[in-house]
Amino acid sequence: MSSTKPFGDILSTIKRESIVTLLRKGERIDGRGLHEYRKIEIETNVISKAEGSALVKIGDTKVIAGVKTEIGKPFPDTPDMGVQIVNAELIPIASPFFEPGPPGEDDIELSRVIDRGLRSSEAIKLNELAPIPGEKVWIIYIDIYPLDHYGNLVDASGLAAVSALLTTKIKNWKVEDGDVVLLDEEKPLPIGEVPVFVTVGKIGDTLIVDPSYEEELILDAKITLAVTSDDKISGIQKSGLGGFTPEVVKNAVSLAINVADQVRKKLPT
Amino acid sequence: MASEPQKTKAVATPGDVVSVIEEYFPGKNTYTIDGKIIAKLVGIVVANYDKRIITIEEAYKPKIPQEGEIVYAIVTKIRDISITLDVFYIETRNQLLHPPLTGSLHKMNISGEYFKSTYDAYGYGDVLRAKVLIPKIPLILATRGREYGVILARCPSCMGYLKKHGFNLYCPKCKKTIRRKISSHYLI
Amino acid sequence: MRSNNVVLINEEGLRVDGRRPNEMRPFKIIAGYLSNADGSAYIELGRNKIVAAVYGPREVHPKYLALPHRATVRCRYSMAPFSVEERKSPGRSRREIELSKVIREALEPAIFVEEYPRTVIDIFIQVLEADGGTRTASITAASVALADAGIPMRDLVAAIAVGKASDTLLLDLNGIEDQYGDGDMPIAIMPRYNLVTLFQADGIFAPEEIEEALKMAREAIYKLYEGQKEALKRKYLKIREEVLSSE
Repeated sequence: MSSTKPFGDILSTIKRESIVTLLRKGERIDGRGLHEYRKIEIETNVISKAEGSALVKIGDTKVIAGVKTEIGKPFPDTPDMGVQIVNAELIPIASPFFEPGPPGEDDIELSRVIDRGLRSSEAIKLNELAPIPGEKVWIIYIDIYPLDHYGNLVDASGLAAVSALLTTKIKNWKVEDGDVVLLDEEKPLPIGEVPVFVTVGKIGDTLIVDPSYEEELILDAKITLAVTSDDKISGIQKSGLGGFTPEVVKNAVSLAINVADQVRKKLPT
Repeated sequence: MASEPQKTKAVATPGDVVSVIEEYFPGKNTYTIDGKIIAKLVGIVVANYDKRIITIEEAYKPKIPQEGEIVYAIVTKIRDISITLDVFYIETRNQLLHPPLTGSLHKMNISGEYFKSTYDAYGYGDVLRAKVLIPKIPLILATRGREYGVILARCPSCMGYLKKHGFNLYCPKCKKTIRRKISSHYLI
Repeated sequence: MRSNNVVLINEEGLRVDGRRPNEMRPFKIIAGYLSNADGSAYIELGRNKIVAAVYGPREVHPKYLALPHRATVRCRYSMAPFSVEERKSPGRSRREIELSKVIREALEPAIFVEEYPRTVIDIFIQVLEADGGTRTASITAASVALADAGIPMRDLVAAIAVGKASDTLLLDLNGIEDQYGDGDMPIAIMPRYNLVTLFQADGIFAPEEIEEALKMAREAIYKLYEGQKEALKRKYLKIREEVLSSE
């Protein structure tokens, strides 16, 4: 059962005034411009046991993602495609607000937003990952672990997932006697179009990108857009208790597309 | 004349031997085993040569507010004698507390002025700005003084925020005046 | 039965990664690795990469867990799915649950729990990469995280494993040695008290081997202990510099 979060509105009322006053002047509490992202740092291949991995920092927000691969059964409805599984866990290390225990709605929402963004843009060429259609295909696990939550976990998680995928190597294979034989040589995971996730927050009439933790507390609502390199949208998630008018949605989309270009430059090549 | 305690340059970590009991008395944040004075915390070693006391000036304070610190708290329970609150923010450190700490506000610590009962001073859900008297759990709080008291309250009938109106709070929607012990920091 | 097909010590007496039997892997400790947690630490021991975070003392929820005379200590050891060769399922394993307990009991004797009654100290450990000896490296990191949180402690706790292959004791087993060796004995010590607070073993050890293993562990633990102290001092001095330069 999903329920309203306690405390949010009290904190926001207390913090809101000072943040909103600044926003009216076009400023933010950390000195950024309204449409300015925090500093992005990406370190890849940080986990040698993973087939691909990345540690992403957006300001003080820190997320690690690792890719593991194995041969397994395809989904019945897509027998000739590999399987993509995204799992995110909001571990208590990252924030006092994260409780230990089985994944809750926030963990699962995060996993699914990233999953949809990657799947729709065909970030992984899953059709090239079915050695024996209907029987044996590659399963690509993308596990996302926030380490420090200072706001905008979605964008950071997306960036970590994409960066990890871009550096993932899988074993080459051949099919022999109806079985998949993995070879010693490795090759890069077949990658299609990777999206960049950009979250746009709305406070009053103002739109901001890459909300910090304090800003997230007072946002009316936010909208995450997965943007492809040809400026298409491959995933949308509105969250928060407020809403957007269609005009504001339009502005948010064009803002996200603009910002996505800058973020994309940081991706590992 | 007594001289000031001397800060040494030494940084101690837990378990470090900082002196022996023949030379110093073990002071704050130290303990002794076998005549050795040992640091409990990360911090700077401070030696008071006159009083012969050695202490550790702690590097990091635990997130439990200290005596005199200013906190924000939400009223969760009102009884005749005292009010129970959830302390969720330390103003003096600009630090959120999650989970919140339980606080307790006794009737006599509410105000210098007379309030007939605890129910007249505060309502459920009120956000108070309060001072920590005793830093234990529950935190013993006080709201005496004009800077302390309600900083945000809702109307009991319509749940809208109350506005400050002279010495009282006022609900613009229900046109009702509500008496509270108001802080000069009231937000709206 | 463990398989002995893998040669763990070659004719020159060197191990699979070129170490001598009594040689520990290189390690690195960072205090204050995270910003949100009240205290935190990061450790690399060989290829192990572990983050430890401490929250507290904070109020206990649910409240019945609160103890009137001392702080409650909770510990959660957890492995990331990508930390091991075969992806680990993200749910809690029995191994993780047991390790959480023995790690807590290794650390708790070092904490002045009586100074914060009715509170809880939460220790969270996340293994990002595992290569043999994660429980001991976790203890070493978590004890730095506790000190970094400003929690009063009798001493830091440091830990290392001693194992066995072809009748030779090996200090600080890596993943392969752990998998194919004849035994593994993780040990944690509070050096100031010379107190063993974690002690487990699998495999067969003669009494004199246990004695020797404790001796080997002690030497390594003293090195780790120095590393812990350095990490804590390095962080504190850095903060002080920042404060002084901003004044």
